[in-house]
Amino acid sequence: MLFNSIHFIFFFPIVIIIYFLIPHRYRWIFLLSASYYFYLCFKLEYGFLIAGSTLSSYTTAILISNSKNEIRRKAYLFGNLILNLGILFFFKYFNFTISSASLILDNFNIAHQFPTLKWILPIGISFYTFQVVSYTVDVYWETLKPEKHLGIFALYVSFFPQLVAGPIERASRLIPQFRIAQKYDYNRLKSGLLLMLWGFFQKLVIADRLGIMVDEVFNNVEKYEGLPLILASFGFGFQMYCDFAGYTDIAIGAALVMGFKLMKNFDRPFSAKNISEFWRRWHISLSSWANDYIYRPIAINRRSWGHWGVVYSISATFLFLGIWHGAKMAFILFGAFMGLAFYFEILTKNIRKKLSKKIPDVIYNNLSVVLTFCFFIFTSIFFRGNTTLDVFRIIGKMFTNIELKWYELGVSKFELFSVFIFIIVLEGVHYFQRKHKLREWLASKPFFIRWSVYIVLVFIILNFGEFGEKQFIYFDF
Amino acid sequence: MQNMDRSRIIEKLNSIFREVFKNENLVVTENLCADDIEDWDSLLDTVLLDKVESDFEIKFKFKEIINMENVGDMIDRIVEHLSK
Repeated sequence: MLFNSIHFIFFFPIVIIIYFLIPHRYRWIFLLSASYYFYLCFKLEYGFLIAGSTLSSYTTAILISNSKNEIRRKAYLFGNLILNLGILFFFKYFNFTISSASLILDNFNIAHQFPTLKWILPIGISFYTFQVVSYTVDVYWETLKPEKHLGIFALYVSFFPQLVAGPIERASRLIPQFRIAQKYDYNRLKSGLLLMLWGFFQKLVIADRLGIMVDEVFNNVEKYEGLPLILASFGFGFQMYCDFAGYTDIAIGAALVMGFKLMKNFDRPFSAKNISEFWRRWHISLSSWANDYIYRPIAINRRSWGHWGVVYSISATFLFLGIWHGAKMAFILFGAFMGLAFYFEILTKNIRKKLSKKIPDVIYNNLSVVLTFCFFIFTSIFFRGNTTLDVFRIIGKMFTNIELKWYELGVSKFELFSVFIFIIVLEGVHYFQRKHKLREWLASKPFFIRWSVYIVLVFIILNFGEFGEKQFIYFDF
Repeated sequence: MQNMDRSRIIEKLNSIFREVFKNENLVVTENLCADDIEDWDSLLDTVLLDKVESDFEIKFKFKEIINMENVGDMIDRIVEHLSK
């Protein structure tokens, strides 16, 4: 079930009403049922996968916790990791592996016939897989006790607001919340609904509108050069942010209505002054997951290598992040560029510190923000390009024959202008959020001002939103 | 290396931290953690661990490092290793 669908508009209020009407001791059953219903609306078979992952991780954690034998504990952990990550790998890379093997055998004229998988990647599989991986590793590291209640654990894995695209929640943060008897709270309801509304604004008004132009250019690269390529590249950067942050805000808002606090997933990433700061602000639940379960363990085990240990750990982490996005060279290059940016920042830390003392703060800081943003846009081209060849075509033709004229890119002048204005509104809100908590600030204002903002937001969504029930970008991962 | 009391461990950690972070004014306390020192990044984290291990002639286990939240936890582990 998509958040931006008629189905969800009916589903969500019904869930909220029933949730607050039933006694607390039955809520986990209700929420679990609602979450499985939400997920099975995509495809019935997905239920078997998530249930299997849940049962194996639940059992593994208890076995690890009950065993004193270190070899057995490790075996249980690795068994569960191989099972869950193996399933993820199977769906993501089976066809790619088969076609690569076919290519090699063709080159040697070896006859062969391999099956191909007709199933597409189950929506959300990466996100719940990362959650169960973090859970079982935390139990193994003894930083978390295993959850004995299967129903509560199953709810942690399948909780519908964050099931299909995160935030990737840690068990230590989310599971205890399911045990709190949440009471209905009008202010919390308003806050959650407002956040959802803001999420819909980002998704429907900005992301999906920009997507029309971005798709037109990126799907027809050979037709364009100069300004359309620049517009589409910057457009995709904002589309990706608004799509994903919009989804996250809807997820966090929906959970908040019920009294659950999910982690922040985006923190004004376009205000970052360097790439390491960018990754502390962009898809925070994934970057912190990668830091805690890939980078840090490798860095600790290679600590005697000094600088080279850090280089090795960063390389492994960004190789993983690149490959996780998909079996495309462009994704690997995306990861490689991000890794290189990290090395650059580590190696030049002292030089940049000295430079920052010689240049006025306002120039240094703003230049850093602009350069970081441009670097992000550059790497996004690798992300969106349909093929690696397309990516290099776009980069090669971006600054050739730049003409300031109108191009037919699937959107009207009015639509493009209005998206531009809404992006300014978005960044204005981000600027305000540097020093203020916007929802709290709004809640302190008089009734007339608050409701004017809500009504204007709804008006904008209804009149400027793109209502084609477009899937969220990160569902593909 | 023989058993060392806590105050001597803190004294030794003080000089290690000052050397690693290049800050002669840094004062190590039990509650000190990565959030308190601006320059404490991923590189210096591993440099610091390596230096602590070599200066105290101990080797932390992986799980011990993962569970360290502040200098106090580090001192507890050092005391345990030195008493073996």
